[in-house]
Amino acid sequence: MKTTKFITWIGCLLMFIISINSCTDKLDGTTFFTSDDMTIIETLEANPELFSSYSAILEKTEFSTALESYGSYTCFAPTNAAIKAYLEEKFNVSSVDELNSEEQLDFLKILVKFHTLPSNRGTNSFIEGRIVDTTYTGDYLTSSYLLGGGISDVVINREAKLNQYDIATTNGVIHALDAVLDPYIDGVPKTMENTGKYTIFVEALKQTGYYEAFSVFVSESGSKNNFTILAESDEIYSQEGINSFNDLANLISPDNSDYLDTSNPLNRFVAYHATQNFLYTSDFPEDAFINTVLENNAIKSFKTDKLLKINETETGVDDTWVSLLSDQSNFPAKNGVYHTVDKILHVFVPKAKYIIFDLVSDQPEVQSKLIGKLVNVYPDAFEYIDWFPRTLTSRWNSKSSLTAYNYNILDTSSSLAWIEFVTPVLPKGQYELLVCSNGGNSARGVKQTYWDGEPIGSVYDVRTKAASVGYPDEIEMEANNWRRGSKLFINNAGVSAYDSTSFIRFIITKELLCPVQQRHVIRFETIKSGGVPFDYIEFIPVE
Amino acid sequence: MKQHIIKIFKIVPIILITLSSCDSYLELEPQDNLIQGEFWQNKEQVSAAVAGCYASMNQSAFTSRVLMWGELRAEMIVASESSSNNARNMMKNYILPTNNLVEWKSFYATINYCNLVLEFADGAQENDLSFTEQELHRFKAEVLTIRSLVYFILVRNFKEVPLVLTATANSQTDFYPAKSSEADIIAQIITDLNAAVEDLNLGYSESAAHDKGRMTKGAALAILADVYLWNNQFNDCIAACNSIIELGKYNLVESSEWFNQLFFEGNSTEGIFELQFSDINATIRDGFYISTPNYAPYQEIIDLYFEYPSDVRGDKATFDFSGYVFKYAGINNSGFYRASDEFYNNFIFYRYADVLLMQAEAYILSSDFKNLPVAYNLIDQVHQRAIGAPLDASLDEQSLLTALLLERQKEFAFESKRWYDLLRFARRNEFENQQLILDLADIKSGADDYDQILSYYSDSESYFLPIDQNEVNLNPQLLQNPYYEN
Repeated sequence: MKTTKFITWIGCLLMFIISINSCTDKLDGTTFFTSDDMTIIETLEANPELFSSYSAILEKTEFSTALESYGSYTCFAPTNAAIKAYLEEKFNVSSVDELNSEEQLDFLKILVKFHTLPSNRGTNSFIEGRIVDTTYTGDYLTSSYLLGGGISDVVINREAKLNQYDIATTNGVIHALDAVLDPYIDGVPKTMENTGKYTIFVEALKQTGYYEAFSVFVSESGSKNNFTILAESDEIYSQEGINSFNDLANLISPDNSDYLDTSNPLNRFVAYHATQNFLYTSDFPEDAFINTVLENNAIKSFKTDKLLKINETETGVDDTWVSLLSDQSNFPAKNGVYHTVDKILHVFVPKAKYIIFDLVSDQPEVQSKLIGKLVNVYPDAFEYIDWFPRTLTSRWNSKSSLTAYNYNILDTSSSLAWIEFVTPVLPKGQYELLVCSNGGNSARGVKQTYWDGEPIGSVYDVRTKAASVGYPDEIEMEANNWRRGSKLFINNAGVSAYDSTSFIRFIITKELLCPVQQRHVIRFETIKSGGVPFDYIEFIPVE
Repeated sequence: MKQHIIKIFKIVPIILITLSSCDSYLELEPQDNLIQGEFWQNKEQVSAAVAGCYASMNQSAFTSRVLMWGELRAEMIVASESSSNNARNMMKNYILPTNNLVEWKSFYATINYCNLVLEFADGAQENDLSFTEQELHRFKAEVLTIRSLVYFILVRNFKEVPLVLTATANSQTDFYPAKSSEADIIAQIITDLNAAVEDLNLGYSESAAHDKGRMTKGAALAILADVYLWNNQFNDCIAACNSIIELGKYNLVESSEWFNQLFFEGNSTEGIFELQFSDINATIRDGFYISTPNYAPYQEIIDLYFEYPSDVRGDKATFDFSGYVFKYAGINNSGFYRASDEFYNNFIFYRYADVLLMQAEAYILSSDFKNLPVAYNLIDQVHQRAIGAPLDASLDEQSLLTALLLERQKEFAFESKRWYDLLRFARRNEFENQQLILDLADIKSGADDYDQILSYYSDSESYFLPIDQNEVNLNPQLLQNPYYEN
């Protein structure tokens, strides 16, 4: 028996050995790569007829190792011809080898950083305006389609056309440029001055002291300054009969030549032309106010299907708004961007306007999807909302079954001492102030409202059952400082907030006076604890 | 011990087998030759192969491209939440060779099926005594017509494509064909269709589905008329349309039946060639099923139909006010929609209204047979059927052309005609009417992207699709279309 097993084993072993040797391995000694695709550097080096100069720059500045490593970059690579032309103009040399001084090397480093994005951005992400993500110098590049001709005629920074685009590599994408992008060095005012097309406006900047103010790159607190300037070009001024700075000063500030005084009309006029937001045309909001450098004044941005309308009046008269000239806008500078308006942008005082403030949808963090639905966050997640204790979290929720405005509500913790919201810019005027939450439940809280730090109106008892204040009788409710919900907000079952007992509106006050146009802070202090699912705050102008 | 020896002997054959495991006898002869040889033996097999040509079109890789190529670059539909990025890009005419919507392989698959029949049917007929000469010619005419339709779709979209007229059945085939010129392709299509018309059946009596779903004389003539129109051969277009009208087989369905017979039931007396779906038409379902449509009708086209409130093609026919493409998604005018398992819609390529309007266009533009009153009457037939009142257009060339284009837009909304209509009108006389296409930018853009979209439409070379990057990589003879060279 033992022998049987032995022989079977031997037999099997023999068979095994034979089958192992039965084939020779033709691939023996071959090295395999997971991919034979090339990196950015390899691709550039493989195409010396186009990129040998840029490769040389990368080599010289010691950035080639970075672009050879894992990662995801966008490399705007000027062609050899482009670099030759640029070097001749800038340094009066014909090749990269001739640049050796420390200063020149530093400049080349800036040049490379300026041509590189830290992420992969193909032409499918280009828009008329800025390209998402800043370069390694911290600047935005722009793409423009104004030239027409489609994808191969896209112009970067209004100075270089795409020679080739979307060259895929393992660690990013390459776009070949037919000119070198000149890194931004100057602030917005100097950049505008260099064009020679804004002499009157630039003079006004100088006379009012804003030339220096808008040329600061880093603020005192250490953060990067950005300015967006909406300027009239000399051409636009001349259409209005203004041919010199004096003409402008006479028009705006005829009796007061102390232009450095911030109450001077010309000073105010210039301050109104700038905002500390960083706005390419595509970043202008659909329908909102943008605060300007002129304190408590905002420009109103409104986008229709086709047009950006700035300061559209509410009279319904056409052509009373200002727009931007697309071929003279979106010009970048080191600390911002400037645009050209199509007529004189006067300081505009809007009339009191009905404003509904959705406490969820109107938060920039929600709009930009930084804070998702049902995500618990601490107050530092919001710029315009704060609460105490800050160790507690809130979240927002949305359900199409809710008769809430935009279907969403802000769920706040029952243990809050207070919660406050910064309102949008309110045009000056007198308003009724209403608040709406998902109430009528005995677990809800009771709140006292504070307006810019002062208590205002009677106590907001979110527990209030609609029937107890007169629902559905509107007159009785009004007498009790309550109002039925809006007929406009309808849930997925077809029920409007007007017919819902859980979304009735509380009238905080009917006489809210806003003497100047600005943002305000509205705070709800807890009198009796309990959760409040806030929906919206309403400002209704009173004649 | 004896037993052990026997066991050893048992192992020996196994060893022998293993020893020879690398021998060449395991290698097989090319399988396709063998199968090819066994297959093309009789009429039934040829008939099955012809059915295979139709079935190859009946794939969503094919039909979805037919739909998207004909609609996305035009203005009739807009993206919905579930539209793909590739589709959204095509809607802006921002199309790169890596966009998989430009893949043409399913079209060449159909072409190859047709070429196989053309090459091997003769042999089968020699083998099979019951296979008559006439039947053979009919089968070949059917696949010639299919091949012509496919090439016509390709040439309108790519302008220049490889013209492959022989079957790829073995390794001796030329795998690297170069592009042929638009003129050569059109000439081939015209020759093939003229030959096919002679041999095709007038119709099929088995069922309406056979009659409308297979290539007939009427179908070949309708394609031919369209090709002539595309190629500005107006006299020939008039003649081809006359031949269809003279068949006496087709008519416009009743006004009250416009939605029901044409689109809900399908295979109406107006239909000339409709691809049949016995299972779900996934292209139509994915595009228009109301719970997750890929596309929605562009709001402003709805206004077009308000020009005449009595237009039977308006609400709950072409579209509805809930924003759905009712033509495909609807059931009847009480507003019911198809469920996701009810999308058996035919894919209509040609119907009689198209013939009338094609002929009208030719009568307006022909220099020899220019006849504006006749053209007016033709447009008016389609117009009156929908509106119930005469067409309001003066008898001059420009007004009639404008009225015609508008009538086509309303009549054939979402039927994969609009982009070709715009392009056909625009490109005459070296893009004299390019404005027709440039105006799309205005419709398609919002406040921020007008300049960008206008730029994408500004170069007339971009009105033809890029060749799929994979094809260019694999075939060194294939040159990318000029706009997309990069």
